[in-house]
Amino acid sequence: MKPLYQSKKKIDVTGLGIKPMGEILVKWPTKHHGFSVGTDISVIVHEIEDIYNRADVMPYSTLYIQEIDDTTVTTTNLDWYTFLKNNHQRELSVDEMSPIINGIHRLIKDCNFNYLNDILLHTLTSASSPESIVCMLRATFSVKEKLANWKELLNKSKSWLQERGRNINQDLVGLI
Amino acid sequence: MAFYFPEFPNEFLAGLALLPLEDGNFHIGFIYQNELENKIKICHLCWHFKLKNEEFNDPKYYCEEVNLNYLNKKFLIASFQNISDLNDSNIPYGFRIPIETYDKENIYVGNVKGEGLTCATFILTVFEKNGYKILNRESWKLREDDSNWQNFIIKHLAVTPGVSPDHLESAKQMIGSVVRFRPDEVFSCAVVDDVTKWDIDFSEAIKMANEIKKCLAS
Repeated sequence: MKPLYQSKKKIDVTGLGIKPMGEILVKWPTKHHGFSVGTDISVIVHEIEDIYNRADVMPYSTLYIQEIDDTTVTTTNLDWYTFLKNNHQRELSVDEMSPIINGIHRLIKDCNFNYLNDILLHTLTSASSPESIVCMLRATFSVKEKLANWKELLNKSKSWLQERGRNINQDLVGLI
Repeated sequence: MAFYFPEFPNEFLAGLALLPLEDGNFHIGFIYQNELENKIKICHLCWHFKLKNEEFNDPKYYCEEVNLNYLNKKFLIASFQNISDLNDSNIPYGFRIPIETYDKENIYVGNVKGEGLTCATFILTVFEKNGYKILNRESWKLREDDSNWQNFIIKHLAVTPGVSPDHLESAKQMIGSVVRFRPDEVFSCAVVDDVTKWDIDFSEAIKMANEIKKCLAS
């Protein structure tokens, strides 16, 4: 298969392709194709995002990272991340928060702290809605010590919320 | 402001429900508006391995809203729903809260025999997991009459199908040595008017719980 995108880091992305539904499938890590075994998932995600931004995909397309070894295949569904990335600036409903919380907890369970930290860094911005901020910070609260930028993001979040006239003692109660 | 089913406050979203029992004890649950189903639901640990998330329609519960703001209430609802989806039949009833209650995927992971949650500590631990430290656990004290309740629970666990002899025996060993977070105390702390006053001490919680008991008695 012809590589769709040659990354700046010269990572072989032969195993990466876009399906008709707009899905991006990355096989990781594998001995045979795609990213090399043991590549940090955060590095891969940076590359995927780069590709994702270039590709003319549907807003609600599905991003998967698939881990493959000789005996087992597991899939990390990142629909929630795609959704969050596209919707973090607007108010979220309970039913939209649930899969985000679930997805974050799955990443934590798999100890993907670097990746989770990157997601926080890339998703939480001054334009994020208060719902997105609270959801991300609280869902990661139990592992805040393991996320390199959690406290920095909490401090930034305080400023972002205050700039919008929000009561941070209410929004971030228990976190600050 | 207290209320009873079916009289919910306008735009009710989330709160707690306290059920007075005949023996003077209480049961507690988290109640919330399920917008998708257009129903009020209650998420509560009913008994050993029985976590329920069901329609709420019992007028005997004394209810109050949690005074979090709108977006935090939404987050708390999502979190309770998430935990109940994953833990309907794996939370044992026990007096001592496990050091690690849920794993990172919100699945109950306490594995020391005899440990588990009660209806009150279930509520408490879900709040805590998300950064809502409603009370100061370290300030809680042993009370003599807690043993009566613990003995009562042991008797009921002994005749409950599915309770292992090991769990029962270990729980029995804890009688009189584990502090009890009572439902009325957890309720009082959780529904306090000003949530910035959370991290409430034992003595303050008892005062607030007594106020609620007075309301219920009147």
